Amino acid sequence: MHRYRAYGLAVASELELPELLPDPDGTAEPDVRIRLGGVPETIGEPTESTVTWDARPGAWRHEIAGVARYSVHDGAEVRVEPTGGDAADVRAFLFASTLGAVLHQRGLFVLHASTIVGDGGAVAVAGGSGTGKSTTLAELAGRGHAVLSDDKTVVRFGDDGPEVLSGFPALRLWRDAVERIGEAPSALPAVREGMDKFLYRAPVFRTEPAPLRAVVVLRRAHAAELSAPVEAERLAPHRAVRALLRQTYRRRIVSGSGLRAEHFQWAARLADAVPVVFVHRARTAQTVEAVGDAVERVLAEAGG
Amino acid sequence: MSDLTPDTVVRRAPNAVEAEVGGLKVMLDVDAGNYYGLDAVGTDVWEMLADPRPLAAIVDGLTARYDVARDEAETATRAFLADLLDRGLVETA
Repeated sequence: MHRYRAYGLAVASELELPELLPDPDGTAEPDVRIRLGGVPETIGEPTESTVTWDARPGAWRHEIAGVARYSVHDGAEVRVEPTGGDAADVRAFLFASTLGAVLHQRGLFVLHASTIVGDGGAVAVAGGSGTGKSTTLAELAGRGHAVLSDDKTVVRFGDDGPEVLSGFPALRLWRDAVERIGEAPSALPAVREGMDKFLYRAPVFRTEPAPLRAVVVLRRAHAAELSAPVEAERLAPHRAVRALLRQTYRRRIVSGSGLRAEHFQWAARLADAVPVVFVHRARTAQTVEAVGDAVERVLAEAGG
Repeated sequence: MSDLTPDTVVRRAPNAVEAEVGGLKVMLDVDAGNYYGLDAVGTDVWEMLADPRPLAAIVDGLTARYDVARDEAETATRAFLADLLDRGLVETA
């Protein structure tokens, strides 16, 4: 068994997962076990389904034709059954929706966001595809900010308010983001065979949780809608809740797991605790630095 | 639009889950997944619905709290409750 630690969980895995950090205290009872083979044919009657997965409370099954099958039970038992995919592809899907199912089944609050840490605390950066999340993360990491998590940001409430758990240091960056930080894409492993997205190890990675100060949602707008190439807009609380619901990682896994009400309460609690800020960026503008500045400004203002 | 009368008793639907942010109510229909934010008056009405109540009692509550004519308050309350009814967030007893 390989032992790792991610999102505050002790992981024991039959599959080697070099993207994860090894667990320095690898003798504790694992929270999550990953085993090879034994994915059930069905999880019974699903409450939610997509083309590739079925979910019901406490059970999830995922099938990527020609790559692997995956199942997750009770947020603790993961099974992986390769069906032809190479090891990197099998891990890519494991770290995507399958890990998302583990986190959701455990009742954690998971945003589709990457989180960096500055002097004042952490800021989560979310946004739909094509809004420049990956590029912004590369820009901020390049400025020396520690990365706390990529793609999935797990928030929990501690004694001093919301905090973000440390994920793992493998960033998934598109080619232009890799080039931006001065790395050669050809020198990095692709996230999946033939994909123009690469795994890049964060130069500065934080392994301890950090207090969450703000959530930024990147948005692309037509230049005419904006008075500046980049505009920050703090959302009123009820819009902030909506934004957090929308930026939830694979939200349908939440409903499939029967956790909609709990998840909604978390979103409201988070919206009450920290600012949620839209950073609108003109579609046409070359504004990576300006977006990076805007995120830093949001953190400086919220971090106090 | 609806057959709501002053005597119609209205109550919260069990699928409507509420939370409070910035002093205002937000709601999720847990069956449909639809999300709603209420304004200050909507928040007041929702709080009054903590127990089932006839429409007239809600109008009483609003006229006591806001400087508004009774018929105006009744028209607005009826429209608001009819909307909540349409969306399945409240039920009539």
